[in-house]
Amino acid sequence: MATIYEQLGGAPSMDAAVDIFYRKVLSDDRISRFFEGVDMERQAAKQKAFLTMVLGGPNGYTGKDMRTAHAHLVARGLNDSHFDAVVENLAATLRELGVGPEQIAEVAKIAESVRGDVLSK
Amino acid sequence: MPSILYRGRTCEVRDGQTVLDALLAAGEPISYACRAGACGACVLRATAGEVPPEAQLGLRDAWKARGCFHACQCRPYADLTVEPIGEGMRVPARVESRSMLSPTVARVVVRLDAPFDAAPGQYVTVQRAGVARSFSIAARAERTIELHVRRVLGGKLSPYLCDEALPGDALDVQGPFGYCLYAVGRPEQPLLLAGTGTGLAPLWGVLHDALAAGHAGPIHVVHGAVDPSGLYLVDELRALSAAHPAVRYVPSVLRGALPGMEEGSLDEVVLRHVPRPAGARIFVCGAPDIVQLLKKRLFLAGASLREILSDAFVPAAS
Repeated sequence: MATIYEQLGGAPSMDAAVDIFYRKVLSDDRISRFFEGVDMERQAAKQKAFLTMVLGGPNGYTGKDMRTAHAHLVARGLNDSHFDAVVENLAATLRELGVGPEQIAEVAKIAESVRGDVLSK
Repeated sequence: MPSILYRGRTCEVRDGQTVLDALLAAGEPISYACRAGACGACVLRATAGEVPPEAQLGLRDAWKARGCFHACQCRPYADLTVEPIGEGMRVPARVESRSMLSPTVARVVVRLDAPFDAAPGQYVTVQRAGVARSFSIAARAERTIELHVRRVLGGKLSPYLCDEALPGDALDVQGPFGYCLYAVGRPEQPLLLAGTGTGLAPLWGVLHDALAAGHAGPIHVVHGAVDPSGLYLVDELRALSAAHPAVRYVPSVLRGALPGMEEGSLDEVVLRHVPRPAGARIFVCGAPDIVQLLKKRLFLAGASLREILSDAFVPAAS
């Protein structure tokens, strides 16, 4: 069965997905402060890698990457509520792209698998 | 501990140290300026060994393929053999002419003594007497490039370029860097060119390239400064706008607007004129904090990230 990543059109479709997802995240008062002052191109590249991973596309993500990349945010107070907010934005992005509720639940499950690493648990 | 072989000498890289710091510590006279992987002054080329990808961010594919990397961003995991970048990337050049565009900004035309593949809007690093600074290309001809240089009080290169440079003076030009250039295609697409200070240089280059290519879509040029004395090429841009109905020029200042100018921060003025930037191709150049803010506001207003090309003018590290 095709992955959601393939259904959406693979790598070329990820730019549009990142635009929607990143815009939601930056507009979300619960989490936008964690994105203050970051380089937008680099951040977009990271989000593309993240979306590609959770949608079932090719990825080289490791738990260690996630831990190292988010450690400075955990030090600034990143916690479960913020992780939940990102997953909400992810679900809303996929709804906008026409992905069905069952598949969104699958994606949320994959996103859940990195919660511990992201939050340095 | 990885080591670097540079021009026949070996030096050790301590944990977490960059190639730039290791070579400077070993007494090698490597040029550098921003220490942020932007200016390109410290770009070197690896002929053996693996370069971490983050040290190549922002470099053109052709450069990456040759093993070029930002020494200030390179923390090697294994031994590297490194050399200065080769012929065609750094070329000897001479001052051709110099004139003032405003009391603080000079137009400096530089004649290149070797073939040099660079588009208006990209930037180069100019070196003279061991000092390196970056400038955007406002225009180019077969063998010359035109730069806009703002005089920085106490600066190490700009006072020379603005006030002392004489035709024939020798310089080195390295580059080009950056992607702020007009790529031919989609002639109906709206263009938005916005910047502060000498951020106008790349925008001027992109604007003229777009018009030369027959760009037909609307073009907004928004140039911002603290007050009217910070604007330049105002008459030229007004004339251009009068000659090309598609071009809308908006000179904008924080305070003291003269007739025909707008008052407000650059992001406010830009969004006043282009409230719905979705679908536009956008160029943003100038002061880093303003570039960052404007990019974010345009993105949130609907612009696509891959349509935003920017060039933040990072000041030299002291």
